[in-house]
Amino acid sequence: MNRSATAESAESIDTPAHPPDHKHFLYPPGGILLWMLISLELFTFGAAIIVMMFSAHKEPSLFHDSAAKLDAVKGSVNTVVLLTSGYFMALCVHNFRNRKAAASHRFLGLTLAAGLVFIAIKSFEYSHKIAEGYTIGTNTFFDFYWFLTGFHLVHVVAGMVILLGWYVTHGRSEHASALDSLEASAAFWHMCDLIWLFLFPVLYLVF
Amino acid sequence: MARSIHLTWVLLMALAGLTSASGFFERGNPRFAPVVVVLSVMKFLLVAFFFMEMRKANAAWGAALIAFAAILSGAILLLR
Repeated sequence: MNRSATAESAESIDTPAHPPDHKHFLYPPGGILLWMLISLELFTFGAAIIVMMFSAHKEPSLFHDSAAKLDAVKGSVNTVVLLTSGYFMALCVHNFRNRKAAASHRFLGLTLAAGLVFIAIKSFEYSHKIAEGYTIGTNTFFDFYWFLTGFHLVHVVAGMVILLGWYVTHGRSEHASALDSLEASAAFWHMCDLIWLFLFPVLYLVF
Repeated sequence: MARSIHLTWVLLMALAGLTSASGFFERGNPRFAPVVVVLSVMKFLLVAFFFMEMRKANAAWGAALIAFAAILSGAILLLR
């Protein structure tokens, strides 16, 4: 095999002959497996929120008084931080798709930085709540608060690990085959936004 | 494409500001709970359709996301 044939062969590996048609039900952006996971996660958090609302229906004053103990300012700032991280992530994918690897890498770094800010604010909030004595077992509201926000935080940390892996290994790559994995990582990260967008009002504002 | 991402972020910031303002000033007011929940649904759909690019996906995925947001927000408002 001569040199030009080898180069052509390498290019054919990196550039898919037929990019996935996202209009097909089995090829949503991020991939079908990731969307099955996202569907299950949304269903799990949705079911937990509905169970919490049933409990609140039985003890409205307890939920009203307990929710007032939460710091809605920190919750609001974290909403802005998480949505902004999603914005950076969307720009990262957009730049990678347009073969602007350096810009994509920069936006991925900003996404990670925003994720760290979210975790820092959440940790600060948790330490305050523990110091004030509002832990698991305090009452039904705080059981749900720790379970829901803790489970969400685990997802944010998992998303950070996935993105950090991408930042270190593929972040500077411009190969088309890497786009699928970046879209899947981005979909997981945005899922954290989706979950938080329901958790924040339900825990901090509605009662 | 990038323009729609920028515009989505601006809208999300505006909606986040409105949600927080409604929550801070009228927390516990039964009349404002639907406002807070509807604003959250709008943010949910903006993230799903523009950041996650589900507007490019099969319509069934979009319909499933809208149904999820409608059922969950309906349950929140009915049970609160």
